[in-house]
Amino acid sequence: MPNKKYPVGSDKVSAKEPVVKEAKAQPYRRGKDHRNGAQVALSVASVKHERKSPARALKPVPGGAIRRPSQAVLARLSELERTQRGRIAAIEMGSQEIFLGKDVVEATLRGWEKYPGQSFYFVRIGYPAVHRHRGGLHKR
Amino acid sequence: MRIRIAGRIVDGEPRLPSRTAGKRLILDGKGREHMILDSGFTGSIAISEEWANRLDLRYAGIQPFELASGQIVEFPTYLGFVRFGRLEALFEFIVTGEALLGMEFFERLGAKIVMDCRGGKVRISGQIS
Repeated sequence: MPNKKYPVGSDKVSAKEPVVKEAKAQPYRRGKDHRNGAQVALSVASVKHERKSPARALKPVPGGAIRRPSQAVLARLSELERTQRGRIAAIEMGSQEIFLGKDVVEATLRGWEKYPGQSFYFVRIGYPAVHRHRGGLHKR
Repeated sequence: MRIRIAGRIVDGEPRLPSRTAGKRLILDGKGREHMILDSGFTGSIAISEEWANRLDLRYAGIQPFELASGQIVEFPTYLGFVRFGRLEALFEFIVTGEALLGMEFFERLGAKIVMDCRGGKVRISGQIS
């Protein structure tokens, strides 16, 4: 029986409006160390205190379709390939804005600086997938 | 700050003890459960759905992922904290059927990985800045 909280079936995952609304009401924030977004959160990756997060985790809502980047965005990514190959692009699907980072965490935090809590479509520039697995990882 | 995690090689799998507490994944060399060190996985952390339900993960979006067969699938991606003793750091999670630690996880730690196949031990040392 599929888990409704964490649907893994790609065609059943939604990262759309309900998530966005909830996220705008509760931007990603975890104490003062993470108040200023990507740079601070990454440079202060270690947190010595433990305080409960005021915002709860955001989960995709099952039943919707995935919003994928448009041809225009893909064309912009192709232009970046010469200088940014291998970096991660977090694409905000509403504005079609691209946030770059060396990994998904950095790209996401950069995106959340401008669109707190928003969900993104991730692309590794110049590659068909963000990550790969050479073993038996399977999608259920 | 230096991090050291010790695990064992069991049935050919390098396993690092792990546990969840306070909605955090904890890697401090203790715990009844384990995660497999997987150098064939370029991502950061893969966990089971059961673990995902126990953790405070924040939905970040969708990422395409290439399987060993060459097939591209799309996984929901989450950000969550991993605790190493008293330290915590933010990592990327995907939810699959297995608990794996991939190369990006070890790259973030600048980790040195020692596998003692004769003694059946694995040792990770790294650093969080």
